Amino acid sequence: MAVSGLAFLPPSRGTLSLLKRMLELAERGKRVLEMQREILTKEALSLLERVKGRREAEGRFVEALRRVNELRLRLGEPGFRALSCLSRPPSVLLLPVSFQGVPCPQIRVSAPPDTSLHYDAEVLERIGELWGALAALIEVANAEAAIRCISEQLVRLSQIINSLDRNVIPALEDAIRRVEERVAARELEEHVRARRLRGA
Amino acid sequence: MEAYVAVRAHGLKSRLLKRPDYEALARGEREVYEYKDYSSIAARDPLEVKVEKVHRVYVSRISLLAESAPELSEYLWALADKLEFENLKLQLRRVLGGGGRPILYPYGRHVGPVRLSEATEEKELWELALSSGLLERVPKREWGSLAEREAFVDFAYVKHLASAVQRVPASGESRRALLEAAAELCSLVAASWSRHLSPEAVASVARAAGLEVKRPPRGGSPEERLLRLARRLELRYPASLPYAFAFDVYATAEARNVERVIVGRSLGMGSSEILASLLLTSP
Repeated sequence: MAVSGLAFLPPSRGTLSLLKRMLELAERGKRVLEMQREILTKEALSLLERVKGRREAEGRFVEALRRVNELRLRLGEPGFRALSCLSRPPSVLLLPVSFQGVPCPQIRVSAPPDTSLHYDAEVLERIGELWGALAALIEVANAEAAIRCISEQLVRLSQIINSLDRNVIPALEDAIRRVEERVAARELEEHVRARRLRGA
Repeated sequence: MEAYVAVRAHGLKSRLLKRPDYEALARGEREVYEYKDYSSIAARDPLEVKVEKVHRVYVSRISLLAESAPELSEYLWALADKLEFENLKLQLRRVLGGGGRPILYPYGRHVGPVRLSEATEEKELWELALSSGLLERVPKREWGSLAEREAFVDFAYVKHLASAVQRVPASGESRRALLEAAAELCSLVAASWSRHLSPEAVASVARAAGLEVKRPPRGGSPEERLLRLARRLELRYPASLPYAFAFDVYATAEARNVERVIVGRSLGMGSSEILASLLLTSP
């Protein structure tokens, strides 16, 4: 029932009972949503701790890339490119993962890069460094994606809670008060009419 | 004829880039195409094309030497053949790795880069190298690792070079010097592969290629030791065929250096990092 329609409800005990049930439901819903908001806020805060590692992960990645570039220069472009043919890239999947009921896209590494054909210890070390740095960046990206989804959900929850708090619940309380007054007035009127009939 | 080749090599060497040129290139004060020999490189060329054109300059220099002395050309072409052996290794990695597209050097006296790049199986690759005369024998089947097969190709190049020395009408002294240079090259290849293979495996691979590893050299990287060898030959044989060997080392170093500058700049690396990666042949 739209909030605007409450003004046209017939004043009766049945309507009063219906409105009270609606108010109770709205207040319970608001409490549940507030609890969910609290849980999601805690989840977002814990994810923020992971995002704090972004600077370090980026630094690690830049350093790993710099060392790979040094190797690339030393090996020569044809040699380096041919060596890169020996590596099989990692296998990654993009899956929806639930964070307190909020679905978020998350990268999952199903297989790390295959370097079994490489024989040069230095090349293997550089690949290891680069993959380690990239895996750390993936973790940060996952946390950021989850925070974005949770934040969007928090915005939606806040809008609903605000709407309940500022519109629906006050409107229901007003309607209950108005219907109660009208019901009380009608009952008083019936009581007076009944006394007059008895006196006559 | 040896003196003529040496004189031509002196002329070509005088056109090689010097340290100030590399410094200007690395800092971006000059562009590669501003140098006459590299004028075919265009700023908008993709990196692969630039790298290919750099190595074309090296090939054109060796061609010039080889064409100027047909009697000695067998040895001079053999010097450039190292690019074919390199191509064989590059294509081998592609075939075994099963992905990507490597850049092959733009040179093919026995088997060109186009034919090599069409080989999709290892067996096909070895047959191609054998039938074209690039290799005299193929790696043993029991060699499981890629390192052994690549080491075999490197040793096969040294053997190829040593065989070419025997075939050209060079003076006895030049021949001796070039055979010693080939033996040293063999030791350098052995030293370079001993980082990845056991000494026994290196010796076995060298034997399979028809070479004997005598003594492992000490001090400096294989590239630096090769430069030292070139300087020694340059000083001792300024007017005979060993000078062409020294020139080949310098020209190869220049091709690698220019490639490093181009790649380093395209990767956004600093001039100090680029300069540190170069193998400078002159002060």
